[in-house]
Amino acid sequence: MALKILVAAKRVEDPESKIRVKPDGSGIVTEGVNYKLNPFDEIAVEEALRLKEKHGGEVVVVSIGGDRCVTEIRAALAMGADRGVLVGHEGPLDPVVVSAVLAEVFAQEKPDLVLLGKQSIDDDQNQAGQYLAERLVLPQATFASKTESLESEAEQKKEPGLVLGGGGKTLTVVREVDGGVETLEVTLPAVVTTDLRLNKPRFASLPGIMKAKKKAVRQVSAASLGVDLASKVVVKMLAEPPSRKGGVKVSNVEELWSKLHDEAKVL
Amino acid sequence: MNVLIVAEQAQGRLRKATLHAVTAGREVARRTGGCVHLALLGKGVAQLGEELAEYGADVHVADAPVLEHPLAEAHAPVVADLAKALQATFVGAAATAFGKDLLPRVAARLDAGMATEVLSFGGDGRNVTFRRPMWAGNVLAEVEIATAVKVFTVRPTEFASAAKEGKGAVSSVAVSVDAAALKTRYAGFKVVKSERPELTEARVVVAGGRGTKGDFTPVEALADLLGAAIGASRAAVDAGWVPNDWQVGQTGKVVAPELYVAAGISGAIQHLAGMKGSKVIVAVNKDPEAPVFQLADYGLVGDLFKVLPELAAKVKASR
Amino acid sequence: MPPVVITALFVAALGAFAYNASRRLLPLAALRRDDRLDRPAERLRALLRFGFGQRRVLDAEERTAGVLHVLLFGAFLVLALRTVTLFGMAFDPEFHLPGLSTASSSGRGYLFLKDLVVLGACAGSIGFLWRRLVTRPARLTRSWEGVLILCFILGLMVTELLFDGAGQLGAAYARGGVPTFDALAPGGSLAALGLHAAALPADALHAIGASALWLHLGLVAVFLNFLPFGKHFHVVTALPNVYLRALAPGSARLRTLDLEAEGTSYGAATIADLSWKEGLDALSCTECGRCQTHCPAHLTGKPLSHKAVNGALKRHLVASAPALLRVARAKDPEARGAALAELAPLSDVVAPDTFWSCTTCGWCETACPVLIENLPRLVDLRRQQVLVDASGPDELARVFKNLETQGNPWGIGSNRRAEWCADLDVPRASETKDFEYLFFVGCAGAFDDRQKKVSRAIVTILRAAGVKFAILGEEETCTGDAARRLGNEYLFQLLARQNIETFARHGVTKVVTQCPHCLNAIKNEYPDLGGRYEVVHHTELIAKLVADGRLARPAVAALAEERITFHDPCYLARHNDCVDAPRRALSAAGIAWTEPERSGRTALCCGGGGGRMWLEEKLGSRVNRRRAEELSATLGPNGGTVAVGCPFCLTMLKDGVAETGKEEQIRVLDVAELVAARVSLPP
Repeated sequence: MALKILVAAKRVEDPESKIRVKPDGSGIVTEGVNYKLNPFDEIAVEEALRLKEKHGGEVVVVSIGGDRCVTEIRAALAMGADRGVLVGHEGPLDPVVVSAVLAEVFAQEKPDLVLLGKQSIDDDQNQAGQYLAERLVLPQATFASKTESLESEAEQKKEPGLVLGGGGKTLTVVREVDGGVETLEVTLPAVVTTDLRLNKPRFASLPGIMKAKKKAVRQVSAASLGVDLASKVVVKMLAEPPSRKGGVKVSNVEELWSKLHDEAKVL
Repeated sequence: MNVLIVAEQAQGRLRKATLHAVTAGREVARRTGGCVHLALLGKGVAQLGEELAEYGADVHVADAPVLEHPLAEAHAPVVADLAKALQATFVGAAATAFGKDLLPRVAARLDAGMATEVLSFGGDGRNVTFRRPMWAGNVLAEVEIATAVKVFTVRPTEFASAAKEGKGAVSSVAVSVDAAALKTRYAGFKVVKSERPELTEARVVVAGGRGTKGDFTPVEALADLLGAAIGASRAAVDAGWVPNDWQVGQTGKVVAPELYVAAGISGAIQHLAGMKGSKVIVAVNKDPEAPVFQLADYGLVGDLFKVLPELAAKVKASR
Repeated sequence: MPPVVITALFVAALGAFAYNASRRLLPLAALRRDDRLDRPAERLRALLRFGFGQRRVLDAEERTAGVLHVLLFGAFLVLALRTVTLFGMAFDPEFHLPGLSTASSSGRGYLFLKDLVVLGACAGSIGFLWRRLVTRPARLTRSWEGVLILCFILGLMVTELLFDGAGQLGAAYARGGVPTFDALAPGGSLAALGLHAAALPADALHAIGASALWLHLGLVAVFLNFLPFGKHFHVVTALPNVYLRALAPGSARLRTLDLEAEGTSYGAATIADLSWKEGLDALSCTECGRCQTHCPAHLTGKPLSHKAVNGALKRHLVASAPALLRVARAKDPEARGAALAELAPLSDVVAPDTFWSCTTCGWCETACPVLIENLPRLVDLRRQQVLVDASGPDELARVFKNLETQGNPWGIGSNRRAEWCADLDVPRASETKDFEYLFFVGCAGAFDDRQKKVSRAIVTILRAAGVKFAILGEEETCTGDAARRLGNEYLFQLLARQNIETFARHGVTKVVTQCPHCLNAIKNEYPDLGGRYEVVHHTELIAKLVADGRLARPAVAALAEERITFHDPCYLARHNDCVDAPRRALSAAGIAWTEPERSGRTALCCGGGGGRMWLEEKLGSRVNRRRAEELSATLGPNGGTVAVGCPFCLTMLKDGVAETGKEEQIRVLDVAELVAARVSLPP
């Protein structure tokens, strides 16, 4: 029951790098900022690899953006993915455009399963997977997770959290929803988005890193896919939230309570 | 311009988050001079529809067996068709798991752009803008949606819970979704009992360190009251006062709750590495020079054995 | 005895010895190549100093044992000629080696020397037997082997004395006289006197003499053949092992892997991945156990003993000999691969708990009398787990990810690396060419709140002395020391190359660091990747500035209010041979301190090195606590200050002090902080 899996790998800013907004609010300061593979996508890559290791098949990584995105594709290849696709596009991306592009890649690659992180930590929109599923008229299972703890034996053994069944035609997905855990069964092909507790991604071995350099990465321009690349969700202005006044010393519990209740609104 | 808000129900009860979404809907309606409509989907929800109508908006109830469970594949066509029928320019919901799962599919059906987790609105008429967090809340963005229909989800805590105001009309919506053609099957739901939430998922974490001198009772009492998880510094774990998996830090768990209370923790960099992503950090420590005060949003120099119980009392009193 | 028998004995003994010795040595040809024949002058110096000079053996802490060993060692060297002579005398009683006839003065001189060493060896053997059986020091593994060998040696000496004595007695009787004590042949004449006192008949005497000779030669044959099997093979291999030593900087500079080259072995998968020198090391271990005396892992109950590692590797080497010989003889890569596949994984021989416990403090290598290199093979075992198996302790994934993305172990934004000096207006190397020293701040100095104070103190001192310096600020990235020692050679090279490229861009030639690990990486390891600089530790620079008069002693006399002690950082004191500079820096500030019990070369590690700072310590007791307790004992009941020179030591000891509940009485401060508080500008 070999599976061909298409996985998204988005290049995002590392949240540890201080994110500053440009004085005119037109964007963020990118100088000195470090980039990495979107952590939710990393979990998606890991899940894809586990499914391949268990059932056989192929894992294709796709990224959309500038040339530098090939770094993130190589990171996924180093983990064990088979080949990559880089859709070249300069400029902002929103979930409408991303899903349109991915729909074209889907048509080209014809995978059995599309895995994406539930959201990317730059725009935090949490839409691309669902949008894509609707475009392709496919079932979706979002926020895929696992009930077993990440310290469990099954996790150590790298068991996939998504369970293939029905003779390779269906996928059982456990989802984290409000108040509990829901189980869905989707028929393949399907779109699944991954949540944090689905797995602990492996770190690439050196032989993996070396091999990744030789794996194929197909480059195609977004324009050549014939989709509308104009942003539908347009960022007009960016601002930094009122700065965290670190180090405010309160003198008693009364004051602390009022800060937490009225100012920070966390209690 | 009409606003369609999708209500959320579970087991025949309206989810509280919906009422916050209703407030958001009302605001958009005000900015655009339109009306708020509510969509209620499910099985056996007619009674609930009547309840919902008490919030002054017309309620459109889609009651069908195929809608018993919140499957996006089944719900999206119903909501999209309703939006078209109502000529709704705006379609919104609360940013709950249900809303986040469903609305993007609705948006795709309506060729609409969507803004997730909106905190507030700006502008009016066609030029309504949406303010939402990006980069994990480190940046606030004001976005415009350049499509005819605009879809959004709102963060419930940013909008007040709607008050009842008069009675709207309740109407039935025909549901033509073919259950047999669905490619998603609902296979079960398990309520997750939270005696104490998991450390890495908790909204609030109360953590104790060397300052507790082994006695975690004030920490546990406050945590229980707040429904919080309990964390600890390495010192407390090493001393054998608390289990290993309570350790927060570089070599323990990395947490990012809404609120992190560090009691009796000096704040060595190894510990900070595990909790610096918290939205609000409160530090309680006897030592005014403790490094944790550099990072904390609010610091109280004092004895945790006095401070934590006092705070717990305040919390209880406010409920 | 007929010559045939003697010859047969001789040939058989040598033949058996050659066979057994080669069975142990030939497999080394299958191990990794390593050029150890370069720089012969330095090697010869080492051989003279550590080999013939027995420098490490005579270490101050082990003086008694050292002297006893020198007696035995000296005896072996001197008696080599005597043994050959005795074999000759078995054929012909008048046999002597050229130039050593009993008539010549050189011959008599040799015999005098021989007698001295024989008596010395008797004393040595008896002394050692006493230690093994009565005193029983902790580092010795008591074994029948050791006792047997000592008995052999004693037996050899006694039979020599009996033979010589019988001969001298016979000669005296033949002259018609009685034996007397001859100061030029003390041993033989005493034995002769003894035999004379026994008043034995002539044939008994003759029999004693003859059988003493035969027994002696027999013991030589047996002893010789005993050597290849146990720890006494060191008799054969120790001197060559010293000659073939790792020249400076030794294990402070770990082997750089060529990660791009085809067929590079990334770590120690099997014994074939160790170098032939490491194989020889295992064969040369004398099981003296000195590596354990100040080993922080061993002292705190971790399952790590370098002596045991050597033993395990030796036994494995011998057991794998047939497979290794097949590897060595393989004609093509396939045959080679097939032979290699027969070898067991090395992590079955040296367990992960063992090789992850090491802090790379270097004590074991400082102490070893035969200069065994214990550290690189442990790092190679780690490399195998990290680079090839992608396994290893769970904590590693996060540290490596943080280093890779943000260039520091905590994963704090690299664009925040200069926040510590935001208000100090420190010049950046990217903005000015006018600097002498690049102050390499290091990750702790930039991000750890406690260490930031030390960084600031260093800036104060550099400014007070008028040193022109600059920092890299956001361009600085971790030196990669911890990554390398944790086995992630790939990440180390990534980080190192980045720093080297940045240094080159700004024309950096001199570097001052506050962390001995940074110092070691930049000074000793970066040259392999093309980066060569003059690197000093901040205490070395302080000492130099005082010596040059650029930093004056305080005008006020040192306040004697507080007891101060100094904790040597391993990577400064041992790996970089720098013990004086921090002390001169302290003196320069007019600070008097008390040495802890273990200081300088024997200082006990704080437990943070070898990347262990980033790992959980789950086995045994805490290393940092152990050292904190020692330092606390040095300071006494009223506490005081522990001066350190390394951010790891500072954190580990601060935590160790807190664990012992002494944080009110004991402060841990960097030397820079103590100096900055006290120096004044030159008049």
